Amino acid sequence: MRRIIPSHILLVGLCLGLLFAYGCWGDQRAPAEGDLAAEAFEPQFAALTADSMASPVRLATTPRGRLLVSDARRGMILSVDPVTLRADQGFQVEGRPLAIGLIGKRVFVGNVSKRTIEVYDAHGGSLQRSFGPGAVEHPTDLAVDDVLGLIFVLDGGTKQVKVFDTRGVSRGTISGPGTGAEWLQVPTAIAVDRVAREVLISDYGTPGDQAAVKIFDYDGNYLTEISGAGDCGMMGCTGGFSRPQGLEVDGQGRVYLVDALLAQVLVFDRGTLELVNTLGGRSGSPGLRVPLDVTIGIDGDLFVTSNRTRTVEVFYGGANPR
Amino acid sequence: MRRPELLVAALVLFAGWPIFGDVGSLRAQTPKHNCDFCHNLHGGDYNELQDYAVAEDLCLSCHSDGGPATWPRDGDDVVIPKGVAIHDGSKHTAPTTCWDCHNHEGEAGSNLWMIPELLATPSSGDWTVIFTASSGANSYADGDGTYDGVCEVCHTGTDQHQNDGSAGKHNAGNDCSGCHGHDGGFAGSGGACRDCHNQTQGGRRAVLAEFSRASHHVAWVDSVKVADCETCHDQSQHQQGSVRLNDVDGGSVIVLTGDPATSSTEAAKLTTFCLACHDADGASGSPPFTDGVTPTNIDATAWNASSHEGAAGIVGCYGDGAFGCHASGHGSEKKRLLAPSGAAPTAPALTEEEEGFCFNCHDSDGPAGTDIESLFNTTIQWVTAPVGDYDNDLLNDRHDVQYAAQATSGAVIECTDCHDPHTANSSLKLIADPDPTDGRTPGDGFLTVTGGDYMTEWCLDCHDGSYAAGITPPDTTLQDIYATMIGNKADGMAEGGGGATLRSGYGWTSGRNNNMTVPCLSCHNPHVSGNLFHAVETVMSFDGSTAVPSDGDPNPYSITNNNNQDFAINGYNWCNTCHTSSMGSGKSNCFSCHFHGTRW
Repeated sequence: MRRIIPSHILLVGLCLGLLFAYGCWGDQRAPAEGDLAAEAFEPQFAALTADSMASPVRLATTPRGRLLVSDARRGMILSVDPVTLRADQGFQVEGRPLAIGLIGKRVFVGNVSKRTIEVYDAHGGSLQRSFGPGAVEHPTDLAVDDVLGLIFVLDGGTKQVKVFDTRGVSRGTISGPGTGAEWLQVPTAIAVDRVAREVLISDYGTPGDQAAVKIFDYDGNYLTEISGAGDCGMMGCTGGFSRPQGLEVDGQGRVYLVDALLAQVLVFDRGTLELVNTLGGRSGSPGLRVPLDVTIGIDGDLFVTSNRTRTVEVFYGGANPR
Repeated sequence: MRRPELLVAALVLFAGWPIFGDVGSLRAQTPKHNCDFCHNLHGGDYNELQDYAVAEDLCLSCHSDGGPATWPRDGDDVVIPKGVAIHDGSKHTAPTTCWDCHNHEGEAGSNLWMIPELLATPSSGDWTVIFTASSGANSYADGDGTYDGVCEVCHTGTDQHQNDGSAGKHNAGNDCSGCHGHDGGFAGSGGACRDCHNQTQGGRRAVLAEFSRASHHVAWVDSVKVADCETCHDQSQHQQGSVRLNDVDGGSVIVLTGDPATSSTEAAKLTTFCLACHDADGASGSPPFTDGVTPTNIDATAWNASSHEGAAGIVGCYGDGAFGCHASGHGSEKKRLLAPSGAAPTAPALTEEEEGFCFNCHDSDGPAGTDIESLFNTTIQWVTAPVGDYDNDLLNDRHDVQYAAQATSGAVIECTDCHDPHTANSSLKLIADPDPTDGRTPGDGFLTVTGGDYMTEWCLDCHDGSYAAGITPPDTTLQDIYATMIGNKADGMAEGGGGATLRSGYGWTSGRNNNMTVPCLSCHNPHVSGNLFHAVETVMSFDGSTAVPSDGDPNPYSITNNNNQDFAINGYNWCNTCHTSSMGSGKSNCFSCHFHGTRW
């Protein structure tokens, strides 16, 4: 016997099905343009005749190990050869670029002059669009999760982490200004651990709130911090840090942090939060002066922007691969 | 009961004492910078701040790019310049670090930006500083007789603003940091000129974009360097009211007190300035600009003898397009820096930068004495049809300097292909060698025929099948008249061998083998005429003194149709003005059989 289903029941079923599908998608990664994360696209920009840097700030790594460097004074994103450490490619940014990240064929740049995140074509460096004026107040740094297609922008102006998808649609915020461990005082730099889905934020702190690296989960829940207080005893404190800037996380859960005043890379164990190694220093080799960011190359080399020497320095084998 | 808070207070006081000495002043000294921004209160080493390198790193750990003091923080808009270079110029015996000018004492006082009220200067002892404004009175260097500006108090070897007033006082009262920034080590470059002059500065227009106009000095806008600007602009009194221009050949600085684009008086000052570079040795032996381009050499002697120099209304090189031809010195929307610089020529004719520019003066109301515009402002007469053996329907009554003619014929020739405005005068109207590529120069006798005159050589320098670089020949190839003159004399215009019978009494010689050469200008007008082939309106005697009556009077020739039976307008009467017996009657026109090189 043939059974006829009334049309209104079919319609309701269809709507329920759509709603279910929408609910499932809502939890998934943002549908990015052309499946950005799946592509391992190597950026290519115009060759530069002047390879010097004026004020190297933030770093990102390309799939083949080149380094993208924001140069706030040249107003450029530079592509640095990891062997020669020379900026032999690059593209111009109108304004002062600081934050930088790469997902697939898109370079995301935090432009502090325009208070926005700009999106550049990784092939050639042409400006494609921005997240809109005022999307952020002062994008001092950003980190990307290229698997989920998320961009975590550290907004030094609002002292928040603003999370966007690759289209610039807001996906929420993390923390905000305030006192106490779970709030941000003077945040300067950011990194994400894609495996643990954690967000790490450097914070200079204020009197009474020691410099620290504050750690949140992707949902914005405060987890813990790596304190800059160091190891304090009766005779004072040793170690510690006061000017935490760029940071990076390797595949084994180690946190690499540059301190602009110590001029060192501090290596912490994420599990114990203990300092396990230091690299560099003003008179070290290589010597650092006001280092501002660190990233891990594809072979485990550790690259650091040394702002006062206007260079990118390398610590060969200084890190575990990501 | 014990008071634990007293114990805590005592400990804090004890900890702070070695560092600051006076806790009472501590509160006043730190309105912007808390102690532990810079000091580790429990174990830190104050000596670190005495090491200039470390001290700068300490400051820059917040005040450099990426540091938190580079954006508004806690509602306090921190505008401290983000520098990476210390004050360490050639006149310094030791580097000056942040702390030498910005310190605790400065934070306690009333001066701006942590500048102390009493500064220990390197060579003049302690000096009072009043710095309560970034411009005007009590600013960096306000120009008054009390040398208490923060930029003045140390300076004893600078060109400007020394602490005893013995040097110049340029830009007094202005914000020195606008040009002498932290990030340049306070060097006087003030950053690149382009950084300020890319927009209006007071009464000065924005000029940077002018370097990207259609024609401009310096190769490309992104390459305009300070050195390029300073080639022309004397900076010794920058921002003091006048544009001062260098004479690169060592002459006096030229001071402009008005706009030379609108004031002929000001424009008149600039000819020497322009010719200083536009001479044989460029800028005293070097290219003036960093692009390495050698300027066009304008022969000053020839210029001074030219009609344009000193002509009515023209004051020199620079001007508005009427009293001077060129502006601005930066760039023009027209070719060759032609004025007015901001107005682009109208496409597709572009006449404003071509013949139309010359016609500004060479028109019916002058001021030039020759009205060329009226000649060209006539309907272009094109041949009616390609007739006879010579199949060319792109011929007309003029040289094709106008777009209307060029669009049809494909030919492009402009006034300056024949005339050099920098040298032309009544006795030398034409450029010396219109086609320098062919190895022949008019006047050197290259036309090896008897009676070949200078002007015939001049015309044949181009009508020889090759053209100068700036000239485009018409789509249908013109005849190589030079070849017919030399290689085919019987059918050329030279050494006529046809035994023509010519009208007597005007110097033209009849008879076979009389070696009479007919100069080009005997038959053709160089600009335009109402006749096809720019045939002269009136045929003159051989010596040019007497008009030869047109054949056909009272219906003299007016060659406007080369393909009909009307003798007056098809050229028949023109030919027969001189030829009295060889030409029969009833011919549709002469040119169907007779033209340069064929059956002449």
